[in-house]
Amino acid sequence: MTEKEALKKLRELTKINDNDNAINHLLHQISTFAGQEKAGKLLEKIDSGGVQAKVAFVGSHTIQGLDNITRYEASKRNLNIQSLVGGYNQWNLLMLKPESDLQHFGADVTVCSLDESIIYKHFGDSGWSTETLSFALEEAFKEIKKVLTIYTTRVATTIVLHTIPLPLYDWKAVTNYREKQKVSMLWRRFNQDLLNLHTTLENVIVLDFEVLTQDVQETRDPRMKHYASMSYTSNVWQVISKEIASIIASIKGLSQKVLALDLDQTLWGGIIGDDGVHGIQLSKTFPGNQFYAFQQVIKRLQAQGILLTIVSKNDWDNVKDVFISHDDMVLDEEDFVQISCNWGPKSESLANMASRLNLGKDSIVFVDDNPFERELVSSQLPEVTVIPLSQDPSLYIQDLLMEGYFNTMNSTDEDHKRLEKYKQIAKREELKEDSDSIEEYLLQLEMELDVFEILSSHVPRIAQLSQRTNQFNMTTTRLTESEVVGISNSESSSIYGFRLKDKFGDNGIVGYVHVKKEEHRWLIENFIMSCRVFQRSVECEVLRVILENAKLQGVSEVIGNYKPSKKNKLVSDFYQNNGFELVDYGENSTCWVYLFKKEIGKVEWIQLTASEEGMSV
Amino acid sequence: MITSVQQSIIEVVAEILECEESDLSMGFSKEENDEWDSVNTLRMFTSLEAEFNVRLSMEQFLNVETIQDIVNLIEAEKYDH
Repeated sequence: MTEKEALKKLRELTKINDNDNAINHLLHQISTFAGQEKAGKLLEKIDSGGVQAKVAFVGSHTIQGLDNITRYEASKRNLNIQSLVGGYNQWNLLMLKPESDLQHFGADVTVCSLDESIIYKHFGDSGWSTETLSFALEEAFKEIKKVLTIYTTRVATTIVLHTIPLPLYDWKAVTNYREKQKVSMLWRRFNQDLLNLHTTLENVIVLDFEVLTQDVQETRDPRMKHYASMSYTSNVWQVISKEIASIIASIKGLSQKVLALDLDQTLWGGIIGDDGVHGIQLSKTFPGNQFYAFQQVIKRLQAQGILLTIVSKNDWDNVKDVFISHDDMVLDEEDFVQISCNWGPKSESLANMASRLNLGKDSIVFVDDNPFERELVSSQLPEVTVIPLSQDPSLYIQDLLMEGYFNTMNSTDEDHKRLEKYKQIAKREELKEDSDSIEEYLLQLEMELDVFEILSSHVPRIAQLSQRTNQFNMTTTRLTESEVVGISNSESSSIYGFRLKDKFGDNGIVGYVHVKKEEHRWLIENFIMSCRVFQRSVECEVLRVILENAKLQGVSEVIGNYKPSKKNKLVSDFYQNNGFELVDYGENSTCWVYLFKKEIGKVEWIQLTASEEGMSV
Repeated sequence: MITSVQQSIIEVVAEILECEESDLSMGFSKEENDEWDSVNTLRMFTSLEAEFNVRLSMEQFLNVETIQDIVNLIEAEKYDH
């Protein structure tokens, strides 16, 4: 299908406002900026059924097109973007003004694209010199910091900026090489300050413009600059918008977590069954070094908490030899949480894998060189993200990393330990088969639960749980780190975290309960638990502890809400099954109350322990 | 009978003005369509440059009144090289 045909189909879809999984397929056929921008404009009229997100765009120059191409990129990540675009050079006014449209819009993400004009305006009447530049850069940084600080006190939003490149011809216009170096250094220092903003303003993300645009042919077009005050070309928007889409996806809990890999012609060149251990291409010299490099990148993802699995049509006996006796095999057997080498359809292998790991199919990225296998998985499991590998293995790394599927907002220790945890799950599955009854199995797990009011050291993990958890999430309200801090500092609300250990190890903090407290009434704003500890009644025991605690504080009723999302059906009966009564059945939520009439029994197989770090309740 | 250059230009313009290709003719003028504003002029400019792999003069493009004017600009650019 050509780009034109894809756009035509997309336009037809807007007319009947119909949508199905075909949209994603269409979007991937569109490669030019004009086409992608057009698609983004059309998508505004289609309810693609994805996750809703509000994105505001402001700038110091013309940012025409950035909103539409971001909607296009975000749609590929199953996000539905509602946008607000600020006027030309209105970024500071919009962000400073109280009760502005921007403030009322309540953006999840605010994109602020700045250009050199915010620096040069501080030159005043004096012309360009190294001294005036030094002063102007300082003033510009002060202004940015002030504007962002004020804006973030009003709106709970993530702000995305990018570094500002030193314009080529402003550097060329400096004739002395010593001065050139000074100018470059001062300018870099300014960009460094921008890149360091996140340490004081934790909701700010600054993208590295020079890194992101290094493969872009033309980043500036003087005709557009003079006619339309556009400082950067649409080629720049193409690369920046991908990052913005990744950031939104991450905030909305749509980051991918699993990388499912084919073997032959993917992790190595050739076919192991045909070529044998020493016949495959995998080495430190060409052409085997392309596969070696690809494996090194995969290993880096794994070290950052991405779960690796193998989905290969192969005999394990052949494959095993590569792991054991090939000197240049970067990945070890132990790096994979699941290995599926069989001759069944890959779609089935992937579906089984998702259920064994207790993860949604949409958290899987599937990589295969074979178009037939990719097509099968796309059609059978449309939720799975399929990466079309290029014919040329030197492009594999680019294919894998281009879209930023695995990007997250903040990395915590939990990410790095995730592999161990999922391996524990695999072991647990085995134990399950030996146990006579499920109770016996659960008793054998020797679970220890600790429920506590969170401390500041827990904030990143709580925010991460909030952003990542989709299935056990009663209301799917996402919290950023600063919101978590705000809630725990407030006297009328608390966040209770809970930690679970068992005989296989410490699972860490696996969930939290956000409670709003009135004198005689507590309201459970949200209750979140990681899917790692499903099916063990941990949630029942946590709820019991919370209710006990409420009783001790003289509370006579506890309210809980359930807001259905595409993924949280699992918990629709949670309050009902735990002694709550239905009080309200709304269109978008159900409301439940616990009046301390029904006694809730202790979960026998879970032991409560005193906290090691938090305040136990 | 129209040339392939004319046809491609009509496709691009129809796409951007969100109208049917059959509504457009060589004599079609920007006065006839409210969608032909400054933002869409820029869109046409970048789309046509990409479509024909040419570099156009912004000043000349801003003076364009009809589709025929666009055809002339692009043909001059194409056959210049």
